[in-house]
Amino acid sequence: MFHSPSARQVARTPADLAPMPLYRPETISEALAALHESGGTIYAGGTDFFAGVRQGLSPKALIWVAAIAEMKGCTIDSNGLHMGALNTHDESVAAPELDAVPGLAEAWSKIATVRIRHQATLGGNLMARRERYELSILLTALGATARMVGPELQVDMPVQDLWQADLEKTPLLASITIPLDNAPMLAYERSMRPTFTQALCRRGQALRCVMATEWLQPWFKDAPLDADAGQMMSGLPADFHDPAVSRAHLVRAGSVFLKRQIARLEDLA
Amino acid sequence: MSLISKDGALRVAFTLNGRETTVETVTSRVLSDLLRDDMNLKGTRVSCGRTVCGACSVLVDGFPRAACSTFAFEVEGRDVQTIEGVEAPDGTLDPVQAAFAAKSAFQCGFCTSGMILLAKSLLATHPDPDRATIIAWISSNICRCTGYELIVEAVQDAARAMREGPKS
Repeated sequence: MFHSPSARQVARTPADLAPMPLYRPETISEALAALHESGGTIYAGGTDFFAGVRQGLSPKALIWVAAIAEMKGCTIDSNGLHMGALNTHDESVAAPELDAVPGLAEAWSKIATVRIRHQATLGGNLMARRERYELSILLTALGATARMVGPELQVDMPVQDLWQADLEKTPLLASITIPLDNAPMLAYERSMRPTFTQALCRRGQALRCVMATEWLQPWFKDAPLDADAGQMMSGLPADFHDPAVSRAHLVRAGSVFLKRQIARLEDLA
Repeated sequence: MSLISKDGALRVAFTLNGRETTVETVTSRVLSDLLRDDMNLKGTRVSCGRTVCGACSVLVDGFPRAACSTFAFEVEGRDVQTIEGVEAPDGTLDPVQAAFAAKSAFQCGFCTSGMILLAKSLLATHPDPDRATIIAWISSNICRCTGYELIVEAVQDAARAMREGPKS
C-alpha cells in the first residue's frame, strides 16, 4: 500500500477503507432492499462521498445506484418539471426540459468545475446537506420538492426541509420536482461567493429570494413582486451571520444585489 | 439480487491505454491506487484525495475524472487513459505534451499529468477553443506553480498544432 495508514498526518484517505459488500441495484426497490439488508451507504457520482471518507465516513457496504434508470432524466407533466436524482450537473443543464424555467440552466451551469459537473449528481449535491453546495439554494428559490422514498413510505417534501428532516424511513432521494405554475424564472448571483450567494425566483406576481453563505443553511423570503429589496433583506434573522460576514453586510450588500436581480428578471419577463 | 460482491473481492475488466485489461481487486480500491500501486503507473498523481485538485485526473471514456474519487469497479467495461498512454508507441509526444514542453507550462510538474489529460479532453470536444473556454476547463485542476498563463498558452499552441496537422 502506497499510503500507509500509520503514516497519515491529517485525515483518512480512501486507502483506509476496508473491502466491503457491493450492491448494484437496477431499480429503486432493489436499492431499498439492499439498504435494508446491509445498512450500507448510497454511492452515485462519488464526489461528496470521498469528501466524507476524508472526514471519517466508513461505510458497511456500498449501494452503487448508477444503474437505476428510473432515477435519471428530465420530464415535464402537469405537476411540473421532474429531474432524476442521478442526473449529473452537465446532464441536467443540457436537458431541453430545463428551458421551462428561464435562468435555471444558466445558474446551474455556474456550479462547480467542468470536471466535477460531469461526475457529481443532483442527488449527491442535495443529500450531502453541506451548506456550501449550491443546488439547495436554487431549488429552494424555485419551490422545488424532493421525492424521498423508503420501503413503506414515499414523501414529497420541500427541498429546504431536507436540512432538518429525519430520513430514516425515506432514505433515498428519487427525484426533484419544480412546479411550473405561473411561469417561474430564476436569477442567481454568486460573484460574492464564498461570502454569500443569492437566488431570486419570480413566479407570476410573487418573488422568492434565497440568501446563503458557505456556513449557513439557506434562508428564504417570499414577497410580492413590488416589494422593496431593502425591506425584504431586513428580514434576515438576527443570527444569520458567520465568521466571514456580518448580518449588517449581508443586508446591505444583499439589498443591492436583490435590486439588480429583480431588474434582471423584469428584463427576462 | 443486486449484490455483486459479498466479501469485497471482485474482478474488473476495462480498457487501459488501448489494451484490454482485467484485474482482481477489492470494492474499496480507488482507481488512483489501482493504477499507481497495483499496476505501477505512477504518472497519475494523488494530492487532495477528494476530487478537488484534479492532479489525479485520468480520462474515462474520453472525459477527465478524478481517479482518487473513482472506485476501480466503476470503470468496468469503460475506456481509461492515463498519462502513460498519451504518447505514441514510438515515443513521439502527443501535440499537447509537445506544447507543454515547448512552453515550459509547468514547474514542479505535479499537476502536469492531469492538466495534459484535461487539455486532451478539451481539444477532443473543442478543437478551436477560445480563451474563456480554455480557462473554464483548466479551472477544473489546480496548479500552485505556474499561475496558469503558460498552461493556457500551451493549450492554445496544441490546438493550433492539431488543427494544422503534422509538419512534413
